[in-house]
Amino acid sequence: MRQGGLQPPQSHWIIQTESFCGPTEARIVLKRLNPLIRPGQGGLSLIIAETPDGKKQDIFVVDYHFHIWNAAKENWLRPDLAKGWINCFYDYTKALSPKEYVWDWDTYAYYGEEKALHDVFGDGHVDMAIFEPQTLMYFYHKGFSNVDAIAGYVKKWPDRLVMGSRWDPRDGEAGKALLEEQVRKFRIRPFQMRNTKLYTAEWKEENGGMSRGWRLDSKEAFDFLEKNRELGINVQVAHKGPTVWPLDKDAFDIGDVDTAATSFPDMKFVVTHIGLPRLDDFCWVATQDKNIYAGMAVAMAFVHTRPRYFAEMMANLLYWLGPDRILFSADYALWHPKWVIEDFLNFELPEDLKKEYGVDLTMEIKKKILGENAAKVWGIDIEQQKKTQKNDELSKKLHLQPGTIRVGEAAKKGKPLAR
Amino acid sequence: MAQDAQANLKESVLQALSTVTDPELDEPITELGFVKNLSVSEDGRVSVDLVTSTFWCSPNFVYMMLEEARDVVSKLPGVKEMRLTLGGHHDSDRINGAINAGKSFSECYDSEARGDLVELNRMIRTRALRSRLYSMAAALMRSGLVAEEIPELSRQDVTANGDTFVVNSRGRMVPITDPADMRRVARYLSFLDGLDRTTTGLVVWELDGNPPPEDEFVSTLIAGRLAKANFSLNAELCRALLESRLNREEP
Repeated sequence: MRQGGLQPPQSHWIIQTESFCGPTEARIVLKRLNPLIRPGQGGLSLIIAETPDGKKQDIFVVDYHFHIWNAAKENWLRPDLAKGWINCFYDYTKALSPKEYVWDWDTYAYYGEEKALHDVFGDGHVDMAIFEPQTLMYFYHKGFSNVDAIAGYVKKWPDRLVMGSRWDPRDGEAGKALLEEQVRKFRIRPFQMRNTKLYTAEWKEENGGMSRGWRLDSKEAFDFLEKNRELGINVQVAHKGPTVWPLDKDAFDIGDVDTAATSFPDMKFVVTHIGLPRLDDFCWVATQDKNIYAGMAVAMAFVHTRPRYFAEMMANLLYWLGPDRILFSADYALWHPKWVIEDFLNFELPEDLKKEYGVDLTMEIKKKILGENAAKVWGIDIEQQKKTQKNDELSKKLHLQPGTIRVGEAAKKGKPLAR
Repeated sequence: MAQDAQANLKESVLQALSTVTDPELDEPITELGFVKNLSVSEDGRVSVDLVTSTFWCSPNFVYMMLEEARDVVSKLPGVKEMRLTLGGHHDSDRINGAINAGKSFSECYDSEARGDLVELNRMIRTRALRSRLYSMAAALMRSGLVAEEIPELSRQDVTANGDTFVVNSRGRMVPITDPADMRRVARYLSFLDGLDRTTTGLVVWELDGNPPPEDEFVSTLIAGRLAKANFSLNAELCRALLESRLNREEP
C-alpha cells in the first residue's frame, strides 16, 4: 500500500426515521465518520470496484455535465439576479453535500480552472469530463460559464476534457456561424464538439424588451437543429428552467424535447436533471423516444443524504428506461464527484423496491451509468482512452494512479482498502 | 378586538393557510415552512410573510399558491384586510403588487402570459389526485386487500373510525391502523371529497370523477406510483433547499 494512500471509507449507515412520511419512506442519513478529502494527494483514475464476493469491475468514469463558472461579484451585471443565481446554486450544494465538502461562499463563486481540474480529475475519480456551458449574459458581464473558460485546457488535454457548446434560436445566423467556428477549432478528437447545452429558460434582451426563454419545438429551434446535424453536433443536452414564454404554461414541460426527438431521430437528447420537477413526464416521453437519455446531474446528489429518495428515483428510471440510457454526472462544482461516485458505488437498491419494481442496480449497471452509456452517446472508445490516458500529462501533473475501491459490505465494515 | 378574539383569529388564519398546498409538491405550505411570519392586528388586518425554497420558483405556481392563500384567508369572518408579502423571489415586487390588488395571473403578467392558470392547475391537480390514489391503494394492499378488489369499492365502503379507517370489502371489514397508512388514506379521501362529481366509486382517476378504464387499474397504479415519486422527490428537495436558504448568510 502506497504511503498516504486512500483511507478506508469507514462510513456507516445510520437510520433515522422521520415521522413526516412514515416508516417505508424513512430518511436514511449516511454519516461519514472520516472525511475523505486529502488535500495535495493524488486521486484514483480508472478505478476498480471490488464487491464482497471478490468480483472486480474496472470503472471508466465519464461525467457528462461539468461546469467552470465565474459568479464573483466583479462579474455581476444585474446584481440581484446574478446573486440570486449563485446563491441558489450554493443552497443546492449545501442541501445535499456531506458537510466537509461545502466551501466558503467566495471560493464557490469563483474557484478557477486549476481547482476544477484538480477536484474533478485529481480527487474526483473522473476519467473524462464533458463541459456544458451556461452563459446567462443577462445576469453576468462575461457570462456565468462559457467556452472561453475551458478552451485552452481542451487544447491541452483533449483526451480528458470534452468541449461542448450551446445555442439559442434567438441568436439567429450569428449563433450558427459561431457553432461552425467552434467545430473548426475544437473538433480535435472525434468526440469533441459533439454536444450543445440548451438552457431554455435563458433570459435575453430582445427588441428593447426582455424574453424569458424559448422552446425547442419552434421553427427557429428546428433550423438550429438542422445546422447541428449538418455540423455533426448530434447530442443535445436539454435543460429546463423555471421561466419560459408564455408564463402561464409549465416551463418544465418537456413536450418540446419530445417533439424535437421525434423529428430528429438520428440525434440524441439528454434531459438534464431527469426532467425534475417533472420526472413523470420525462419517464413517459423517454419510454416513447429511444433517443432520449436520463441526465443525472442534480439527481445523483440525492444519494448521500436522501438515499431512500434516490432509491425510488433509480427504481423508476430502471423500470421505465432500462439501464442503457442513464448518464452519470456530479454536476461539478455543485457537487464533488469524489463522494458522489463513492456513495453511488456503495449504494444498493433496498429489497422492497427491487421486489416492487422488478429491477436491480448491479455493479454492471453502475458501470454503464458511470461511463459506458455516455461513451456510446459521444462515440468514445473506452479501451483506446484507457491506453491514451495511462501516464498522460494530466496523470503526472495530478499524481493519478489506478486503485481499488471496496464497496458493499466490505466498505461498510471499514475493511482496509487495497491499492 | 379582545385579545382572545385576536388569538382565535390568528389560529383560524393558520388553519386556513394549512389547507393551501404548493401545487408542485402537493404538501401544505405551512408544513413546508413557507409561512415565515403571520400577524393579526386588533382591527382584523392580517399580514402574512411567505418565502419559497428558491429565488427562482416558477412564477405561475407561486401565483397559484398565493392566490389560494389570499382567497382562503380573505373570506374568514373577522378579516378586514389581507396582505401577503412574498420575500426573496426574483419577481417579488411585481407579484406582491398584483396579488394584493386582487389581480389575476394574466393581469399580473399581461403580455408575458397568454391566459390564466386554469389549464396548468388542472394538469397539476390531476397528478396530485393520481399520486394520492397510488398511496392510498398501496396502504389498502398493505392492510390485506388485493389490487383487484379496490376498483370494486365505493366511497362509502371506507369509513373513519376515530383516526383509523375501516374498509368494507367482499363481506369483511379491513381496518387500516398503521399511522402512515391512515394518513395516506385521509389525504386521498380529502382530495376525493373536494371534487365536484356525480360518480360514487372510491377509485377516481380524473378530476371530473371518472375512474380509470376497466381492467387498467394496475397500470393506473404504476403511473400513480411515478407521480408520487416525483412529488416526494420535489418536496424533499424543496425542504432541503429552504433549510439551506434560511441558514445562509448573505454575501
